Amino acid sequence: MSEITYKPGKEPHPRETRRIFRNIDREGYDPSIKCFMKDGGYQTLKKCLKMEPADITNEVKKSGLRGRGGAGFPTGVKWTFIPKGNTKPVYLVCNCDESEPGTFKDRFIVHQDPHQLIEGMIIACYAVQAHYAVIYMREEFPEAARIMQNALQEAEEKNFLGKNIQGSGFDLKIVLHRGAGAYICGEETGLINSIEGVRPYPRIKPPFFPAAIGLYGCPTIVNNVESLCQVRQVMMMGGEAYAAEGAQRSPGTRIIGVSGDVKRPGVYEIISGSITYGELLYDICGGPRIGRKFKAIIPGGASAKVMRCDEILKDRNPDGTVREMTIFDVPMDLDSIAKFGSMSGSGGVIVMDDTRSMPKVLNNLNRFFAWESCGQCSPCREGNPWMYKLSTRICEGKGAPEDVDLLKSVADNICGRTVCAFGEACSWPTQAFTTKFREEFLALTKPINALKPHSAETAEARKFLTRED
Amino acid sequence: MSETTNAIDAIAAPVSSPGEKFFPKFEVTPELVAKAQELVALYPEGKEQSAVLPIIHHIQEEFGYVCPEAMPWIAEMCKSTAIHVAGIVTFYPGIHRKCPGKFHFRVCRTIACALSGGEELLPYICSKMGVDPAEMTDEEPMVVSPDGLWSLEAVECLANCGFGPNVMVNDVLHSQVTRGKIDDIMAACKKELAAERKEAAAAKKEAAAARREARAAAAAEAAEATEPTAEEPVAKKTAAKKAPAKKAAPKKK
Amino acid sequence: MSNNPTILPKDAAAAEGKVNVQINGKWYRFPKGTRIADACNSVGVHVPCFCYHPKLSVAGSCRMCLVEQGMPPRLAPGATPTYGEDGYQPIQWMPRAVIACANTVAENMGIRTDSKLTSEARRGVLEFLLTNHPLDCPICDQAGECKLQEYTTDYGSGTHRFTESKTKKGKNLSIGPRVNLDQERCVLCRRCVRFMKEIVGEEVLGVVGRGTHNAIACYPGTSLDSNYSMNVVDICPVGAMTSKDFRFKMRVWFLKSTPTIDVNCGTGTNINIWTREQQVYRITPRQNDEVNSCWMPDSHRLNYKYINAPERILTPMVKTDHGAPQRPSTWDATLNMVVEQLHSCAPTETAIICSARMTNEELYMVRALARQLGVTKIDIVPRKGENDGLLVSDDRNPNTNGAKLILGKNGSGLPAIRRGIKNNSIRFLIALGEDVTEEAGLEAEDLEALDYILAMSHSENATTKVADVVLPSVTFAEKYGTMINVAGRIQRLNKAIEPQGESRPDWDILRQLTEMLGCDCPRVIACPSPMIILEEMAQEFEPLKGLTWGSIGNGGIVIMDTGVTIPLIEREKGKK
Repeated sequence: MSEITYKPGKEPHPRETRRIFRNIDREGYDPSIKCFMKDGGYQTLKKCLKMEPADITNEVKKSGLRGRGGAGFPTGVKWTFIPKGNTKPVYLVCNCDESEPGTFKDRFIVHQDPHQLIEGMIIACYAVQAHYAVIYMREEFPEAARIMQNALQEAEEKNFLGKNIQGSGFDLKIVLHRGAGAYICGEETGLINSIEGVRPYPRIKPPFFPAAIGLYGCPTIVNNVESLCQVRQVMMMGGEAYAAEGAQRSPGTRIIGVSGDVKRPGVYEIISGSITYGELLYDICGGPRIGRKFKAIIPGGASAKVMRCDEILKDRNPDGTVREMTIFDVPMDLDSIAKFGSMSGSGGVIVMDDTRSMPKVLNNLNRFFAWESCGQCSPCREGNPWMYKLSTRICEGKGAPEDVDLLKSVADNICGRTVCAFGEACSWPTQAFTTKFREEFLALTKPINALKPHSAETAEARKFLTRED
Repeated sequence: MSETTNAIDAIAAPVSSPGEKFFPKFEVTPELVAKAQELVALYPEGKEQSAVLPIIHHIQEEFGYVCPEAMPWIAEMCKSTAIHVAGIVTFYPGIHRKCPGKFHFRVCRTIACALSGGEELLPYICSKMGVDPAEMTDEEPMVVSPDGLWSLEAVECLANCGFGPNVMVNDVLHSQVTRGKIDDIMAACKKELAAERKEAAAAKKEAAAARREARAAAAAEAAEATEPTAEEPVAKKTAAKKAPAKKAAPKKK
Repeated sequence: MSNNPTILPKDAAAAEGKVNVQINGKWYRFPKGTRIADACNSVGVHVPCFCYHPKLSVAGSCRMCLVEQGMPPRLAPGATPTYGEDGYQPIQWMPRAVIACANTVAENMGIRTDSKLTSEARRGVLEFLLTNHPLDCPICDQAGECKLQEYTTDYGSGTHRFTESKTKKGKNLSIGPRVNLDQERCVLCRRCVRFMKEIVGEEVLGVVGRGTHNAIACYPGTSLDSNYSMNVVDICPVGAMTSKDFRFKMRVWFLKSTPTIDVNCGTGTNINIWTREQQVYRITPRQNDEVNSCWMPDSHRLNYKYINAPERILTPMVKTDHGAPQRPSTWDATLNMVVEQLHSCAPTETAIICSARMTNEELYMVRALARQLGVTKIDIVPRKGENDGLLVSDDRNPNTNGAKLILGKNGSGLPAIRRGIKNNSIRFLIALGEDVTEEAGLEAEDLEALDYILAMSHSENATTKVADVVLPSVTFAEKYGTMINVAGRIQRLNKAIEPQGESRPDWDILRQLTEMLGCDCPRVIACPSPMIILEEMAQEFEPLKGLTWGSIGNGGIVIMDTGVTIPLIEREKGKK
């Protein structure tokens, strides 16, 4: 790939392996189909259209590809969940809602290389025999929506979409559907409801597993943008070759977005598990800003549990001995970090240095989650504003030490008790921040605050209960 | 919702905004109906309700926001009910029930942007726009300047976390925004407005000239009937969509 | 596995299409597909629910019904399951509680509602619901039958930890002619939204806003004006939806409820009448899946005001002379007078217009009276309306089938009676439970022309005003009896309050009158109660054979095939 040159200042880091991001910031590359095809685009699709759909699914299963939306579910396995003997239409939905704070990988694909996604989607649609697919794109990508719409048009003109694609007899229509600014639409069943034109409340599972009862009550496969591009990659390389590379349980490349307090934040495509968090942050991202020290890392998007950089993590070696390490020694694959209570999620790494106040960071997250809670189920609807009010009060110095425990307890009461994973997403940060940085929270509190009214109503009511001399 | 309007009436209570002068008033035209039908046709038969969001997006592009009169119309187009549409309109923060300014600024304040100073930009932009930052609340995060030219909205994650602070102005994303950059962006907006106004004035002049000519010709040619020429809707044209930014790379250099 | 050679419980259950489920340590058997909540409730293990309603789609959003669940351990490939002494596999308890409303039972499943996990989940959910709930229970109509109140007592924490300011929403909003909404009391279970959409088929209610600002609303300019709107008050687990009719009228714990049936149409909707001290305060539907499911129309529900109205006739009224005004009298004097008067009426010139609003027992007595008098011109007044496709029948009489069975009349003889009155061949009229100036089609001058009118009615009307004698009877709330609905189901009316004033149950008036007219048939005159009349009728009428008051029960029994169905019930059955 020596012939590829990138725009000045946008060159990939030597430790990167550009596959999905091969054409991102590439010199002379544009989103047109011409450019894409000149580079070998749609050849994989042509090959796939000659295969049996089930063979494609098998190939993807063989590759061990796991979804890149955050949950990391094996893509090929997901496809096989469509009920056997199904007679309803099958739908495929591409999740381009990219709403997890800290995650910003899909935006590059849909802005700069839309045909890569379209090709991946067509292959996936062919594999699951879907003739109607939807790209659900977040509202905040208006430019990408135009680019994508244009790309779909081009693909149709070249008969990669529409009727009898490339003479294969396979028909496919892809519709671009734009969201309107809701985090919850990244949850696959919320997203399906959003497409159906109802309030995007996530659905209860069971019975609404999308692969069985999804869009319009039909079997529906929801895959993330990167996952679908990886499908194309799998079919290009072959499942076995794909599986051979990177971490055993999460092979292939991963796109990591780094934001926050590092010298060179950005997006980097690496072979899964080939580097550690330390290598990512020090080697690729240039380490902390001058005169600062890394303090905490959120390893997988805003909802992942925060990790302290000075935390000693204990791992068991294959021989049974215990190995001590820090977050910097943890390899960047999908599972390693999970052992230490956090998750790698969608690959958004948010870094905080020693100048940051952790209660303030948490308060920012709490505001986000309180704002984004859809309000369908009680714990999340009522719990999130409560957590936000508590953390705000603590940040303002109006909290009592008990409030820190209360905050944690509220989070505990949400976690695991909601319809969708938002319950975990919103409570994990609070649980982790208040536990791991408890002293910082306590430092902001005063015992006397427990006796003070915290709302205008209470203050009003107290007037009649206390004597003011 | 204000103290005096009851919570139900508030759903369809008009919220006036100075931004309205830059957008045409919502009106159901045959073109609008045709567009709505085209959007409905994108979805499988019997699933008209799916077109609620696409139609809303189209209305926002054309008219700036979703006014109360639009909701029952959308419902009609999508074979749904007004309350259903209201449920959607009031759910998504990306749907405006108040007209934004001609230049709508969305400032990301979620964690990564906040770490890089996104929230600190808000008071500065407010002062530049001449709006009171106190008007921005968690419940109503959008404010419009009195001249209707600007509006500011604090939003959650714009998904460009590595390059914060991020600010979207209409459809264009600006990253690594500083105060200086805000000044430049606003200056560019003003320039754009001036150019548009000049263009509109020229078009108006042209139209007036054409009208004069036509009238003169008509007067000269025949004395039987002097019917006035149909008025060109130039005023609307000036207010129409800002030209879609052509070359807005998602990520600025 | 024990050496017990007998069949394993799982196989025994499977043979009957059931599964074994352990609930709080005890094993039960339930049909496959039973929801955990229904299973638990059916064996007396209470599972609290806000959003779950058996007649509506499952929302699963209130999270109140979280329970601890366990399943047998997942087996490694090739491994065989192990069974304990009792024949069951061990249960592996899951760390995450599941909702009992959406999940169904499975073989060897374990449920714990008394465990730490379950009780903590319940306490947590209740605490959340109470954070923004106004504590206005003292003035809330729902107090006393509020699920939030009950569950807080049963499972709540007893102290509160929320000290921040609450979310403000709309209060005391009129969302329809008969229903008020308090958005702050709402727990957003969306039962009302689902009811209107799924059962009534009108999407007038919806949720607006997002997150903590979510609120139930209707679109401005529209309103919850459906004839079924008040059902949302019934299904609202809290005091968010309140009935304007019942608002602030009475604390519910003072009310006594009596199960009975509605008499406004042929459906015979099962209801409860809520009374206190001989006063009716409200009517609510009573579940009967063969008649009205859990619902009832507002028009029927609110038609109770006449029971305690000033128009009630509280004493017998008589005219001493043909042109004289009516004056109150005593029962003895009145009945003696009536007997005398009736003896002088020529049977061929006498007609009886009775009512399909009467119970079977009353109609039986009407028949006895007619026989005693030798009157053959007798019929009911048919009432037809429009079937609303849900619960309101086109037959607006509650007991047309009873009249057909007992009197052999269906209203077809009414025109002849009307003609007879108009051409003066009928000079004496006995109007029982009907204002003959209404659906019967007689004019004031027709009544004027009659020589004698005997009216039996619970309230004043155009007929009683001109009648020579008025016998005060009772409303459906004051008597026992049976009626046969359009689908051929016999159902019981129960007495909720005592007869007002000196009014007496219709059957008793008719019985005494017949006896005084000289009837000596013990099967008529010896009947002390409607229950005994029913037994008498059971001897005579084939469809009633073997029936007793007790055997009918609160749900009624189908006794004839009418070919008529209730649309809402058919739809509900179709969904299953």
